[in-house]
Amino acid sequence: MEERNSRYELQQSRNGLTVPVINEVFLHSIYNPIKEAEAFAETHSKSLAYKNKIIVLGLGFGYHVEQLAKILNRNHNSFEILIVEPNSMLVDDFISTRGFEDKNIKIINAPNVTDLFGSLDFVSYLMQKPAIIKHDASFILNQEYYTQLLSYQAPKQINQFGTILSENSKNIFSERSANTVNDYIDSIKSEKSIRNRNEFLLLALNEIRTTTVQGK
Amino acid sequence: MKNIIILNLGSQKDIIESSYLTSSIVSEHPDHKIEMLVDSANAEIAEIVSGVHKVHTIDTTKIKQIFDTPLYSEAFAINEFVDSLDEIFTKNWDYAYNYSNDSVSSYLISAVDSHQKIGTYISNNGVARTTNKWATYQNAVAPMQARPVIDRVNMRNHIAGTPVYHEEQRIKMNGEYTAVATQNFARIRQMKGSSATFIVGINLNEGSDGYVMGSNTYMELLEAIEESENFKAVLLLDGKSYQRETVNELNAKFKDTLISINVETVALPAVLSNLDILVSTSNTQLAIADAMETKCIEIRDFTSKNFIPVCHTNDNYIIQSKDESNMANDIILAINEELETELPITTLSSANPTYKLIQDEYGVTQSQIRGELDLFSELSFHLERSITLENLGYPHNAELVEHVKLNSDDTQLSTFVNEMKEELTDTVKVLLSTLRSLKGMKNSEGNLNSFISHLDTLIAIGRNDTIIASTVRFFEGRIENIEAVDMDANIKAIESNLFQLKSELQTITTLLTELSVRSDKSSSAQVRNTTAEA
Repeated sequence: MEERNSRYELQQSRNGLTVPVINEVFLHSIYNPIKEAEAFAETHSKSLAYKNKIIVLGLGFGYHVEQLAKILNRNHNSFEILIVEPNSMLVDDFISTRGFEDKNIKIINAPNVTDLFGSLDFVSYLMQKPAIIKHDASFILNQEYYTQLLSYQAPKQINQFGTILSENSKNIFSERSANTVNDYIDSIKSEKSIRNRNEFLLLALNEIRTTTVQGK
Repeated sequence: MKNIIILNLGSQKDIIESSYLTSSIVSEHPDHKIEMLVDSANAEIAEIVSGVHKVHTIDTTKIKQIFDTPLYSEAFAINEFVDSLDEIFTKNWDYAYNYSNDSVSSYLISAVDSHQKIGTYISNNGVARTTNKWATYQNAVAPMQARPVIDRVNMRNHIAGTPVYHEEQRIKMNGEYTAVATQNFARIRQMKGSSATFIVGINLNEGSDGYVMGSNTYMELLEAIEESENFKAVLLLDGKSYQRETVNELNAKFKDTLISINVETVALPAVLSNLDILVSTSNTQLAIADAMETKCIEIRDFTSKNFIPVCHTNDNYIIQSKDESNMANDIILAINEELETELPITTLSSANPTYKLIQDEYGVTQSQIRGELDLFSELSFHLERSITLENLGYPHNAELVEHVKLNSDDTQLSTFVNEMKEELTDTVKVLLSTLRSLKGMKNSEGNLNSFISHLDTLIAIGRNDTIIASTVRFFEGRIENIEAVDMDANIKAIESNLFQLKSELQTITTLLTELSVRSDKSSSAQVRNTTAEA
């Protein structure tokens, strides 16, 4: 059992719905999870009115997410919800017990934040500037994980790009040794000698990076 | 069969303008295969350019966004960049042309495996080089001009060594859309009872200079058109909400009798081909219409810093809005002139400068036909064009000199000539001292700093936007293009370019002399003597 699940159980609420209790934290109301979820969704109605893409930090047992989806469905022709949940056991139990009927809701289960930001799908979703909504009980339970997520800074060192960098892209840095892309480009510029095609490509990339994008 | 890659990471206007090149290439070599690299945001526009076999895209906005956001690994941006270009960089090209002449394309063209590069590229020591004098002019001179004297389309075709052919198909037509549009427009014409009804397209999109026609201009223009038995207006929209609001406002006034069409890019050529004339601010839709040789009236903001028209086609009009209250009248005047009709006009005089595009043996140019005249500005424009073309290898334009002399006020012309002479004399003095310091340096290397200082002073003259400054910038562009391997060869090349500059300044002297024959013989002779001394 993962450390984060040292005390993990699924209890029944008064109205018969499953409520996970992890390390003595109840992820939903033990009386009426739906009513609690409705109130939760209502507090986010403003951002749900103008954003149709949402990231929810914490799966719980999905009641709050379904209520968010209801509001989004009312406000927009299309919407997407991505739930970030580090607890694999919780995700498995949720999927086997109830799951989401709505195909616009997706769960991303990444036990560590670096893996999460190493996913192109996740990064592409983030680039669409979704609203981020915290599920408080999940957040308290995984405070370190979510805090790390919210303050994440990608490593700048080329040798820490790891598996993200494709084989083709790796070739681009084959000529010199430098810590960062910036250092690599500075090295080409200071030498005033462009050694090969890859270095021309890097300088072109640097122009995209540093110049204002032209009016389309 | 040759494979050609055109790097075109500029604006939509650049992409439409490249149709003049692609159609010319196809016309000369129907078997050549042209591919084009554009920004993802402009892919739809590139798809309608005639002669382009394949469009490659790169999402520069996404790449920049990844780099600008500390959350995202730069590796994603690098992958995006490398993957987008993979196909272009694994192929051998016969020709690679840096059409948009931007910094990204200048590096990319150096990385492309091509038999011949065309335009600006970056050398192995990181310096921008150009492949011919037209490319040097484009890179060193044109960007500083608020009103470029050489038409961009002509210039870019010259860089590729391909003339602009007229009556070539530059924009792809979608057969299905064309058939539907032709049917619909036949019905629209019949609304006025005749298949000969003139249809005036009015584009409601804003211009790239930020200009939008005023409500009153729309009202007055539509009133004249709709009340005429021979005309019908069609309002063109591209889906923006402010355009919808304008249509609603106008329809309220015209009792819902106006026709408006919301057109997507792919269907736009079919619509434009059915118009008799398009009235439009300066934007992509206008560029497409102009490339299709639809008759166009381009409306621009007079206060805009730059005057770089979208239209390049002979007989099209450009009207600058200086006094909005007269705009509708000026547009109607242009319509009447172009279609030989008699829509009602209220006045013949207006502050708004109207230009007509004229195709002469040197290419396309703008000729002011109405509105307040800034004589110095117009003279500078036409004379600089003539001098530039002469310096680029065209014959001397004696006809222009005669025209200017015949049609200009003596006093104003004399003032203009004298002012230019003053600037020319100052420049010649700097040139002469630069040549003297070069001679000094040849005698002793200790004089190197003095020579560099003189050269810097000369080059600094090019920072202005005048005829003489442009000539100096052209010299500077050539100097930057020198690829000498040692100091001696370098100095020799600079010396040769200084003498070429002297000869180009002599062209200006000759022109000023011709212009001042009536008014100021002595001072022109003085200038001539000064340059002869060099």
